[in-house]
Amino acid sequence: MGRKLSTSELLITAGSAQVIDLLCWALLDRGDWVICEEPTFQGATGTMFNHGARFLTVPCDGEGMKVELLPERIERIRAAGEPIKFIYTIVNFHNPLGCDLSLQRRARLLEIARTYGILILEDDPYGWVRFEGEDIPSLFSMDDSGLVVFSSTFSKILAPGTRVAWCAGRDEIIRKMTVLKENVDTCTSVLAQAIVWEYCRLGYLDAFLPRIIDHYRKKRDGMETALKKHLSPDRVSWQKPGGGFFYWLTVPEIPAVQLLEKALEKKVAFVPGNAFYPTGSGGLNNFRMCFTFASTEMTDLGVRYIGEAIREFEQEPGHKKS
Amino acid sequence: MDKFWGSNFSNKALKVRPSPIREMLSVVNQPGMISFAGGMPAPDVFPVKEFHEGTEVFLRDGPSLLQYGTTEGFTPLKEYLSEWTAPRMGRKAALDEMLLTSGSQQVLDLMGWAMIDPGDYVITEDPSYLAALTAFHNHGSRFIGIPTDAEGMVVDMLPEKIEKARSEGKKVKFIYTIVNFQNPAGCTLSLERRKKLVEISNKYGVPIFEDDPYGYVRFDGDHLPSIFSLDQEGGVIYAGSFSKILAPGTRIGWCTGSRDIIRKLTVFKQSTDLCSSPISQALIYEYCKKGYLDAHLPKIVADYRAKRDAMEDSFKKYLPLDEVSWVKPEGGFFYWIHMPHIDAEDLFKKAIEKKVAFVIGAPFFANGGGEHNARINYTYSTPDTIEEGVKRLGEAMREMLGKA
Repeated sequence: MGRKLSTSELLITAGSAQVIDLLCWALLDRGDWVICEEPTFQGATGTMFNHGARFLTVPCDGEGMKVELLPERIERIRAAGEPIKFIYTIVNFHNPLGCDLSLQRRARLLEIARTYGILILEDDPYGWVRFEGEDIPSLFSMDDSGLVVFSSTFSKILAPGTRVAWCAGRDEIIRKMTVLKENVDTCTSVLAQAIVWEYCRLGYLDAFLPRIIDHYRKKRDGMETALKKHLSPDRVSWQKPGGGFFYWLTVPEIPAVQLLEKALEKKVAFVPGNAFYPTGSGGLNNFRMCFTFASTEMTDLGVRYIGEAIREFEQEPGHKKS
Repeated sequence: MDKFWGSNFSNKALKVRPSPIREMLSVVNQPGMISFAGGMPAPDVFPVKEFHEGTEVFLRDGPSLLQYGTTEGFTPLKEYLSEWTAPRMGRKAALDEMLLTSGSQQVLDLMGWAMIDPGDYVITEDPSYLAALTAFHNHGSRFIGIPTDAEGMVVDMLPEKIEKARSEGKKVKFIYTIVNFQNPAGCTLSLERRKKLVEISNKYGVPIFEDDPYGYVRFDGDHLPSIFSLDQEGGVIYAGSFSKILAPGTRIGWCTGSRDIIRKLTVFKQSTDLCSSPISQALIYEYCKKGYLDAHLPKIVADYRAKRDAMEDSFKKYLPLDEVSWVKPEGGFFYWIHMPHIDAEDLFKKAIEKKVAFVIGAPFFANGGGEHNARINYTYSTPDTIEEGVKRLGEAMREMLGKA
């Protein structure tokens, strides 16, 4: 975070879904715009949608959000006199893309946000689950003007069942989110917070995290191996993630939803890409695979089945090949 | 105002007021203060040891407790509740007629999502539970308040109010009632009025939201059947909570209703907090399964009954009886007093000087009122501090009246 936070800059929430819910309560009137990556975590945009958000989406590449596309998009909305309330970005090991927002792009994003006076919600549930490479400084730590709310959670670094997360930001926004939280659920489970605190205080958060990382790194490696082994690079492409939970695959000539049908026959499941596009269009030839849950053996088997499904699909009459 | 945040606040955020009761906590926690303010259970009736016994479940089922749970809630606990609440509910609810929530406050928020569009009307008792009024208000509702008397909401006023509202093009979305030992008024909706309410609900097609956090904390008299049990049309949603019958720190409540509303609430819950803590739900289940819910509840009831009695006696002894009236609550957490010639806010300031705190009536009224009412909690104190606190309150009242 770049510094020690004071307690008035922190709010503990019932999971990170609640951070988004509370920020939306605090900022969104129906019809307001939210800027987000495309694709992005559909759980977050679902919550924003319930609060009446409209989505201004920005495509991504291997370095995350293509921030250079922002000014033009922002100006278009501003010219129509409509409010843009915040930028939602998943900065590390993006769900579903798996990429990081590069340091350079973080600096540029902050510049743009400051220029146009737009707030940023920096969502970072996966940042501590890094397998290799260097940590990239948070947006929060790179900004002095206070326009960033940072959000993270114990879900991936301890366990999701605790339902304890947190956000950090200027007193003013934290205070407002707190007041709104009173009427949403009164307070986060004291029991859960105390249990998490004991765990941390006893040194387990630090001691156990490397084991979590190690475990997931092996699974990531297992999936990378399986993908290379069973899938043909002229049919499927992907970028190996340096951390987090997900692979994002591109299958240019195959509709992911139909591929899923075939895969399900073989008892393997993934999420077709379209689910992650808040405006509803896009991702038709993409899908997301989570590697953290299955064992390496099951992953190999599953990816093999996907490879078979792809080949079967291509052999079907009427299927066009490039 | 901060150039980034304040200038970007939503309209709701600009209008929302923090709970005056929560805001009072710093005043109320001053040393030497006797607080009749917060609606807090007494920590000495928390079943700490019994609850702790359940932690063995971590060693047995650790991985599943630490994983994401379903939004619908922990099935064994639902099954237990379905059975345990059946006598009051009139039948065993099916699992898909129930949702476990993060406290019953969450039921209020989810009902707001599912039912309220900005400008819609909600019928409530007048006064009603502050955090419910605020939750509905945040979703954009306006209020039609129905006065209460010793038998609860004066339901006979409903048909006229509903017809008038409809003739003005207003949409009345549901009737919100805190059916037993109402917070703040302490009253309980009589059986006759429950039946009448169901009749009216069915006739006008306005569902009933029956909020019942205190129903199991009854000191005298007989338990009344829930409104849910009196309705055959599926137009009632019932909300319950472990906060007063076990402990509030667990943050687990539940609601029971017809499948379509439960499903809708569940979908909205996905977007607000994904799932309630599987750990809390499992621990509560262990506690219940071991028989502690049934075994311990009478101790809670006995403890609070003694405090209610202490307060009743103290009121009679120390308050200016021709200037203060109240209805003795048959259960729950609060006294609601009426003092026609004393302004509650002024009394509050004087009371604080004498080191006794309570909550003034006004925040509990959606459309104004309550200047001569006060809510007095007894559960948090001991019988001795109750007597001392009421003595101070009586002095404060007499000084106010002396000045008038």
